[in-house]
Amino acid sequence: MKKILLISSFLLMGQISLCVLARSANCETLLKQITDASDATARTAAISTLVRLGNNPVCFAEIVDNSPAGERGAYAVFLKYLELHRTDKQAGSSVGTGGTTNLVSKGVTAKALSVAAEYGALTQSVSNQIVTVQGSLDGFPAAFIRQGLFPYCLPDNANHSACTEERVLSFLRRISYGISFDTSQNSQAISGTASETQQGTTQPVTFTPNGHQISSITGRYILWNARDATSEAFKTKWKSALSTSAGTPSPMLLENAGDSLMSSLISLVPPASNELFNDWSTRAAQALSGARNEDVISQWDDCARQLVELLTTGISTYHCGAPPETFSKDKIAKYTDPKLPEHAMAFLQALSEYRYEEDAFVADIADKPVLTFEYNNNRPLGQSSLSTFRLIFDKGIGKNWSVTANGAFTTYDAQPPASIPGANRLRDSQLGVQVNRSLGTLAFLGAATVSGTYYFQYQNSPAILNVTPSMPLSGITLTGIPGDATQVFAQKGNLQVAQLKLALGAGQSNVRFPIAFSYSNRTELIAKPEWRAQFGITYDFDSLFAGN
Amino acid sequence: MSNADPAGNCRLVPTPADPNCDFRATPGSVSLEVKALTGSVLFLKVKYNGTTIVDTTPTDKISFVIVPGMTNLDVIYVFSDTTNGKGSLNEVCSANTLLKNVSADNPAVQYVICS
Repeated sequence: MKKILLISSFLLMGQISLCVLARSANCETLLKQITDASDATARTAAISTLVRLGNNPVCFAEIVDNSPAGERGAYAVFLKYLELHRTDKQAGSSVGTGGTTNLVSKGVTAKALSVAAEYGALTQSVSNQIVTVQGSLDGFPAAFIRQGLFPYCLPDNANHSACTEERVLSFLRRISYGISFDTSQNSQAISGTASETQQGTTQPVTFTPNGHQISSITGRYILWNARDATSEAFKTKWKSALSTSAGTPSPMLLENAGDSLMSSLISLVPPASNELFNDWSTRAAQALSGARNEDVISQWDDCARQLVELLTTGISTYHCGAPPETFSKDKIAKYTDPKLPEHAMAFLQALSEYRYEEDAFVADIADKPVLTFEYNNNRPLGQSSLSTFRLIFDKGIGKNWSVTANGAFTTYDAQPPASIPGANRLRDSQLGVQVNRSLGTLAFLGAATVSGTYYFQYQNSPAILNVTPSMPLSGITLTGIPGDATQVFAQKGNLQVAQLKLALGAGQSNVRFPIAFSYSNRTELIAKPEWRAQFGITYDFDSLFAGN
Repeated sequence: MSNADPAGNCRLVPTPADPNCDFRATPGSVSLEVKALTGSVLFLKVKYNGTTIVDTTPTDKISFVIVPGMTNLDVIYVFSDTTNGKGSLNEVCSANTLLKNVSADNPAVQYVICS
């Protein structure tokens, strides 16, 4: 793992240096059990535990990793890493071709964004013709951890100079972002204005784009997070979530990390049939048994060095009790593995990723945001930019119920014209309460939730629309408007909306279908009661990427 | 290697003083369970002698057939308390033999069964 850090340092600073590392902390703990043993039986058991390296593969991996062979292996891994992570290869079609998603053909490309996209830092939902991309800030370091660019701190690696700590990720997990894009066809319009005098039947025109693709930007910070990682309810939910691949949270990333850890464990620890390793275990146990307490560490250092040399080359200059058994060339070839240092690094990296996924899975179940602050900068088409400041309260009640309450106010980003009666910067204030009830898993329909919502909006300032007579707003027809009018405004009035919603999950898939009916006494623009029905679709990409 | 015989219908005997084997066993079917002491703990992935025992659904009990010779039992544990999680590996038998302690610090373990 330290070598991966070394590689990262090289990439960041453009230089590489090999460093000599201290004795493994994991082995130190086992050595201490030998020297602290209360009697001969306990001492023998502690020695056997130490030399049966499969019982503590972290100790074994760190022995290999800290050895000279480990340093050489790190360089080999580094070269392989560079080749695997070359980004000077075009992915997808080039610019100018019909189906490309690339704006430019690349020489090299930034990795961070594609890593984030490929590994589930982002989730998307589509609402009407708005596509919202959102995620939490921990998604980026998580992507780096899953790529092996930065290690995740293990409990005992206090001596490591740099790793991503759980508390840092926990903090970043509190901060989330969202960007909404207006994907409707009319959102990208071009207006032309005559720039010079007409010349015959031709007219020079200056074109102005009105892309307006980013319709809102949102930032959230969880002020109060309730964590329950010990109750029986949590344990039950943790076990249930682990057994449900399409559930929330999905265990697939943890499962995949477990697969990698299992593979790397088997590659690292010599199998029970490895006679060379078994011979070493027997001799090391005898050597440590005969050593005085003050000599245990130095004896172990020699034995550990001998083990790495024997397993990588079949010969060693170090001493560990009796001389090693002599094996035939065939057996030496069978029992040795020159790639052992690479396996050690792969194991430590897989363990780091596994520990991260284990923590992340628990956090998804145990951490519930109770109080969240949200800032939303909304730039609706044809309206002045708005800023909304919102407090969100969310609390579960019992097993199936939860209550969500919102309090918010919205301001215009610019002072509205004084010519609009009653207009000022404070546009409106809002209050919303939603009660949710989980219906459990229904036959054919999957997980289902029903909710009832009441929303009240005090309209302090009238809603204002920006108009351009030469380019009417999509879906809005204005008649009798003076040709030089640039803004129109609606009547003030309090707005009340009630909604009943059923959210369905389709079987084992990650698709969710919300169906809702709502009634409002008016809208911001129309001062008449209105019934509406809404139907949506959401997709959780996390488990899809995990499946890859 | 310990010469102790398994009790009752138990097949496995821990051998703490053996530098090569974790357990001595008589060949045949065996069931193991992991019991939680702090938090919850399950088998996430298990392979015995190269054969997958647990792959997709985490469980607290596993069964397999011990074959003669020195064989590996590779286990990946998953803990609900990722910092302090502790548990024990026991055989499901009349004596419910305690085979090993397991800890969240060490989720990947390779045991050697000598039969």
